[in-house]
Amino acid sequence: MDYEYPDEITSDQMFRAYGHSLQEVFINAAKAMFGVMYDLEEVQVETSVRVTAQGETIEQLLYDWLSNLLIEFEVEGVFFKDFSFDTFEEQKGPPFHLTGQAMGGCAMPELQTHVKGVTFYRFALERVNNQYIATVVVDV
Amino acid sequence: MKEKLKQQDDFRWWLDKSARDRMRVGAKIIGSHKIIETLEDAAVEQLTNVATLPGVVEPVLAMPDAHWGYGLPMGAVGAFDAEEGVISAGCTGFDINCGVRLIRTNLTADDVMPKLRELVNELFERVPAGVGSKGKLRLSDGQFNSVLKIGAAWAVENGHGVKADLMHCEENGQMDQAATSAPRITEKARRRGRPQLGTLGAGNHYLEIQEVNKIFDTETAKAFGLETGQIVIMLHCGSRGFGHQVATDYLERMAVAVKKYNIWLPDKQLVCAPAQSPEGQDYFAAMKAAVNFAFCNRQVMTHWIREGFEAVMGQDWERLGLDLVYDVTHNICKLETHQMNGKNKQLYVHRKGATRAFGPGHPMIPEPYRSVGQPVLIGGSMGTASYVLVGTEQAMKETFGSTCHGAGRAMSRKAATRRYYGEDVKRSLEKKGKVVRSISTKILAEEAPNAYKDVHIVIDSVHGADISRRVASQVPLGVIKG
Repeated sequence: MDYEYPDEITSDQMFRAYGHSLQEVFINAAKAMFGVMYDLEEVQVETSVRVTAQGETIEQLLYDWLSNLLIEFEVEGVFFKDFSFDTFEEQKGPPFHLTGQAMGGCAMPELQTHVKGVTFYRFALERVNNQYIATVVVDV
Repeated sequence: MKEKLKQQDDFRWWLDKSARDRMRVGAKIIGSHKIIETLEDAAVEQLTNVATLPGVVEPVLAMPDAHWGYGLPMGAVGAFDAEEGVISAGCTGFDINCGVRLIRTNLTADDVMPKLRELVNELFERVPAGVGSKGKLRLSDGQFNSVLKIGAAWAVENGHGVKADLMHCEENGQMDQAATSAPRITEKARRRGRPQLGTLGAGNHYLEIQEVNKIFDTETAKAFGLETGQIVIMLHCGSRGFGHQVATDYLERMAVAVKKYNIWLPDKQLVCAPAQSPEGQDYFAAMKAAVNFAFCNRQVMTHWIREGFEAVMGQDWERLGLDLVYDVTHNICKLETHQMNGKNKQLYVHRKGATRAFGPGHPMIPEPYRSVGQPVLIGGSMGTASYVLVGTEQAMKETFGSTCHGAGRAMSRKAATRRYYGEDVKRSLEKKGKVVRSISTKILAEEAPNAYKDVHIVIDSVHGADISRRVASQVPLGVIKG
């Protein structure tokens, strides 16, 4: 399972993303976040936006990655579907940096809700049994 | 945690500070027994978390619409000593100055019903809505700085309203000493926010054409210019991407500040800084910029609403009587003076899903309303009733001049989308004669009326506790959503 939406938090939305590497969990967390807003399957990839992020910890790097994706989504008007990394400096920090590509299309899919921001509530990035698990609550 | 609540009377519940470790003060919940029955234990726990923060003033409050959110529960108030306490980006939340505006008219349902669909379509075309919607205004850097500095006044100065609108707005539509530039306002916030000025947004934001169906307090309703059968317009939206980014920027900055000032947090979301620290004051100034953006946002849309009514009804908006009743904010941090143990104390009052409800005589209430009290505008869930209340002296004494903000969610969004289909929600509303236009129908499922608490029960509680009193209720005829 790449990600799931536990049915908790009445006013906002939690998701859990999984991955066998940090890059994989970062990608799945991004997919989970945009999956709160629309069905990723409805999007055709036609363009790509460069996104950078940094943080003093890997957790802060994840927070910055997700937050910067939200900015690019709104500013560029691209509905993101898939993500990749050009650089992912998990060994070289702190601070830690990444540069990535967010791929998607401009045709609007059917929207479910709007993510305003990434909260710190229960925000966690853990390694459990050789798997990374990211827990994130977004304000909708 | 709920089992530790002690009932004080029909509408008040107390949680002593001994309920858990490190609580500095107690917490109070305003609500009937029915409200408490459905209140999540996690929301009560969140109140206790806020009660651990430095300089917190008793009590931390939950309103009857409170529900499990992040940090401070949605529908709650946390006040902090202005000298000794903290100011918290986490307690204010992302949609800074999310709020409600009510516009009255001289029209009745008989005037509007034959043209309702046309009106809704006209407003849907004129007011940009939806996720990531871009506004129609193209602002230079200087103009945008002016929006951040003077809020709704910028809109009025640029042909989007009249001076009387400013007087009928909380804070007169602007908070002074707002930040307008780096480093307090980041390039990210400017880039994200500028294109979104003059947009409704999505989610639970809406524009409704409503009919006043009941008057509870004739004298106050008269002062507010409201009467039974009158058509009014309610607008619910906030600071859009600008406020959301200011909140994000300061969550990160305050995460550094809590380490610097050695502040223990039971919940990372409650990031804060000493109110008098540079970090605390930087946030307050940036937050005020977002507040002003939202006031300007609602003012600009008011102008387009007026133009829409002119186009359909064939008369000037002044002749149609489209005057602003009031504009309130329900997500904000304010520096206010309140009486504590017989003395005036300056407090940073954080209202997250709570509305200011100042009582009669308060100098911050516009002069036409001052003798009766501040109008309080409560949006119900989509398709249900909304209310106009009035602030009270009791609110000043008990809740830092605060009351509820809406119906409050009863069901998570995922649960709502599992149970309801957007198309069915729309059909059900239209069967009742309502006209609904939304950018997306899926979004209607999350906002289904039954996903929210019964607004009447919420209002019964605030009225019963006398922290705000019923003046009028309105039912929606036309609904526009992003």
